[in-house]
Amino acid sequence: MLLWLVPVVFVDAMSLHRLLHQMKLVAALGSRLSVLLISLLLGFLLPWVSAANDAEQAPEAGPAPIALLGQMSKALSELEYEGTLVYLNGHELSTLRIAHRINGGQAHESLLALSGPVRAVARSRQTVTCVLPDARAISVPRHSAHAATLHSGTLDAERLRPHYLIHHLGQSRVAGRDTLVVGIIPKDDLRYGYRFFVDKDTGLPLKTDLMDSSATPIEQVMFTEIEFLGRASADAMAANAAPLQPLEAAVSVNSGLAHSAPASAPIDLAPWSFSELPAGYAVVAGDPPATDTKGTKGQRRWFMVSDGLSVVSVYIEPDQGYGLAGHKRIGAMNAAGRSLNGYQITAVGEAPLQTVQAIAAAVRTQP
Amino acid sequence: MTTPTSDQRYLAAMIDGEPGPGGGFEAAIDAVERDAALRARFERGILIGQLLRAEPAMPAARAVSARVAAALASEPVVMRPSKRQASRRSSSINRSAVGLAIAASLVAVAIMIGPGLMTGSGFGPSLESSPIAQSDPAAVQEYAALTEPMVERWALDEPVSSTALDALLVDHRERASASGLTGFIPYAAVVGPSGVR
Repeated sequence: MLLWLVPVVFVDAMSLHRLLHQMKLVAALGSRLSVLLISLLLGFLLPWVSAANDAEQAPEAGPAPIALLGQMSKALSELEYEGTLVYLNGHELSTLRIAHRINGGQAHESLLALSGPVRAVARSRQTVTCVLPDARAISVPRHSAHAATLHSGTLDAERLRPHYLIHHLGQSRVAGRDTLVVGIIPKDDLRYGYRFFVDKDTGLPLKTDLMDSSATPIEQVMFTEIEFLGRASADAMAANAAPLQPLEAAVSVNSGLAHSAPASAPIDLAPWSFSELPAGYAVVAGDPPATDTKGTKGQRRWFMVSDGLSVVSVYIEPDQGYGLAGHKRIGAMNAAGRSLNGYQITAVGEAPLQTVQAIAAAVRTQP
Repeated sequence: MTTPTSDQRYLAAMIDGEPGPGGGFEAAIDAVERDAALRARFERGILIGQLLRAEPAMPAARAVSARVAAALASEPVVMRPSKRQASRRSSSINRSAVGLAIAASLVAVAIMIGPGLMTGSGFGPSLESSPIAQSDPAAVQEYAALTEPMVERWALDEPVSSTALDALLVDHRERASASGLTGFIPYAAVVGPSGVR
């Protein structure tokens, strides 16, 4: 976890508590030498613990990590803002202009690349349109949040716990504003993790790092300047800020920040099935099959495979002869494709290549 | 002289890579999406901008080239009076010069790639000659994966499959962003990479 720490102002108080607890257990079992060593260590660590506890109890320490993620998700969907971002992917650095507005309760977002070839994205009411570097415009319909996908309060900490650690990683400054840093750290190589620098005042993530299990950044996005437009929304956010509560309570209690999602109905995979998905991954959403049997052959099916955080989309469509065979990579995005019984299967997602390949390979036709 | 519409003003700004009046560049993107004439103008503007900035040619540019080539091929050939009789001597001199130039080019190419061809290694070290390849087949695959160049916009030289993959990429980002957790990063990742190799 040390690799994930930012240049922190405060030591992670929870980690120290845990360390102290383990040391006490050892002391209860150990020899006098152990007790002596523990005492020495305690003497050394006490000033840090004291400082950390002070930080935790201070008002600016912020909520528990899970509650902080809930605030962040809510801020992303409610705040209106404009700003300038830098995007770092490998050795490539881009500058982007972002405008995020709420219209009729729906988020509208536009991004424009300010460096290199002109690229842009606009999310309007009905569609998402991307202008790519070669001036091609691609439009896809917008989708409402599926009940089975992660959405604000539906972050399932119990489901994440076997595969991720969720921790406070300290505090930092981004775009001249104070942030709390929370990390979602993967425990294995089958998924990526995140490091969010969440604005103390508004809950908006001002910096987002997508990282692999060895804490190597894959993609980083950071505001260099931001202007909040929706003051009323920001004020409402501050008024409804979740009180400090332990992680378990933040998850189980449906606070004002958490949107509950109904339990999803079983997903109709027919005529497809998935076998041997990577550990922790499951099919959580999918487009229903076409009701018109005549149109079934030509319809593209989509399934979402997720471990609760990492998301991989699987597309199954009639093979037109130009589908992806093998794999491709763009930043953190991996794609793997193959042909099966006249259908093209393409898996796309922000997950390690081996995971995306395994998911693509897991698709079967039902007997 | 006609007054430009607001769509056209936004479009002009976006072609220059600027947010436009009031930062409303989404209006330009919407206009591009719904108006084929504006879209064509936008593509031409982008192409001109790329050429002015000496950016690498993109598939759309190649598509334009192909259309231009096709148009030229279908153009009627204008028959002019032959001047060959008058310039027969000069053309024979030109022919000799062209022959010498081709020969010199071939020698240069042979010098450049000859050693590589002789050793079978080309310009860079081959996988077969690497120590990894001699030790472990599994490591060979890993080495190949590690040394695979990162595709910054899938495959720019395959417009059809690239467009299909980009559409899946955007669709996936849109569906996955419903989680709300990844915030603005999904779309930053869509437009962040410049696609320039």
